[in-house]
Amino acid sequence: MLRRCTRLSTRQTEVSESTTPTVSSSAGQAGDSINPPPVNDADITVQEEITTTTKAPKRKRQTKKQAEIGTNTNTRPQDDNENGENEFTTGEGSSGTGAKKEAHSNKKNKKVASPTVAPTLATSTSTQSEKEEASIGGDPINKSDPCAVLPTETWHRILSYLPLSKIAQTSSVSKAWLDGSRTSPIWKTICEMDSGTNESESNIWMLCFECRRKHYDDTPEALHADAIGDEHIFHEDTTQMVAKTGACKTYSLTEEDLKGLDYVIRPNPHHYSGLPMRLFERDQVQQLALRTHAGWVGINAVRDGVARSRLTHFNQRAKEVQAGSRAQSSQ
Amino acid sequence: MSAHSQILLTSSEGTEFIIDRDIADKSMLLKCMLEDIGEIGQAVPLPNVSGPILTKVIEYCTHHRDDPNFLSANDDVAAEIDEWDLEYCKVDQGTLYELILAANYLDIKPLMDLTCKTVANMIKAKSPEEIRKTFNITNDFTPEEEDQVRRENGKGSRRLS
Repeated sequence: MLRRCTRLSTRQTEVSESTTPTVSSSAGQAGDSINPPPVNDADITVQEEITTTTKAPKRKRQTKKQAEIGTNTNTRPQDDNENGENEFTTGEGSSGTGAKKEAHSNKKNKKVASPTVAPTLATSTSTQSEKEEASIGGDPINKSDPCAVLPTETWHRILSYLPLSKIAQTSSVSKAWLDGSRTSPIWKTICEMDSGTNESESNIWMLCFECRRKHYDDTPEALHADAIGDEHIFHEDTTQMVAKTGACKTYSLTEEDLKGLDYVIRPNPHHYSGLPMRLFERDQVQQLALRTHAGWVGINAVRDGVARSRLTHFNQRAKEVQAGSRAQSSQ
Repeated sequence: MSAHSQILLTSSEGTEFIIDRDIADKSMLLKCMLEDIGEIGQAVPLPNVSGPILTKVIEYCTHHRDDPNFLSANDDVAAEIDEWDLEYCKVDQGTLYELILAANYLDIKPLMDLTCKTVANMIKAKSPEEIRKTFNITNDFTPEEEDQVRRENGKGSRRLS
């Protein structure tokens, strides 16, 4: 960035020095530009120094510009590159707004598509036409990594305009982008924003797992008395009980999760010789599930997720079976 | 009378720009400064802004000169960028980044929003590979690392918020 700034500034001073030769060349007098005045030589060395210090893509840009200018003005000899460069420099510079220069930028404009805005300044017109050249060419010039060039705060601001899923996705671009997206304060603000004053159901959805668990530690949720889905409830005296498999299925828990809870053993209701079933207290199971998945929001989401993956699995299997039967029938 | 007074600015390379006071007031930096010290008739040096970039910034401020919603218009993140602004941002990436830095330095919020949004739009509809191509970024992950980042993100989005 800094480098580019200095490059521009060097150019600027150069412009003021080399007004005379530039004007002669931009007027399209081929005879004059073949023998450039002595002032030009000094300029060329400056220009060369600049080109060697700038990065590769920037140099490419310059040469591209030169080529464009070369094709635009056919009156100029092909080997007159230095003059072309000088002319380009004036195009970008803003000082020394002579009448000749204005004429030059207007000339340039005629060749490109007409700009939408009426020109207020000669320089603004020339930058406008440069832009258009760039966009028409379809090859964006001067590519550089915004993440490396811009300050971190500015980069985070840019990221904040993107959807969250996209920010996460950008982290696989490069290591710098990974850092940029991980350190973005947006992750924090989103959680804080929602866990602050407004605690409606929809906002709790937005919270991350940890924040949601914290939220439910402070404000516990009521347990469900009615059966959830196709949950089968057993009644022992006045207590609601659920069997192990049913608990795992309904509340998306693993047998590992249930280990800490007390249970009673009852004979298998399906078959007298089947393994005895373990009945857990339903309230305890619900408490455990609320803790494990952080609220009903979490429990429902996990169950939906499981249902979705089961469905895709089922569809895939169905396709396989169909394909298999088709293959068989064709034989 | 004060509405027509003019301010002299000097860019980083010493080029002088004369602008009207109401245009200078678009920049919070200049506005606060001019309110604090008054118009002393001397040039205001802007060592962080180069001539061509300052020209662009002035172009923006001049276009939005009489815009009543100048400060509030871009508060809405999802708002569409108007046509002139869209055209204004069709510059090469280097210029765009310099505009962002200048807008940040001069504290011109709408310009900052506009330019940042433009960069965000360049990223928006692209895959990581396309992003690399757009900004000429080399992928410095090893295949394993990249795979891990991908997997973590996948897990992150599938994990229930």
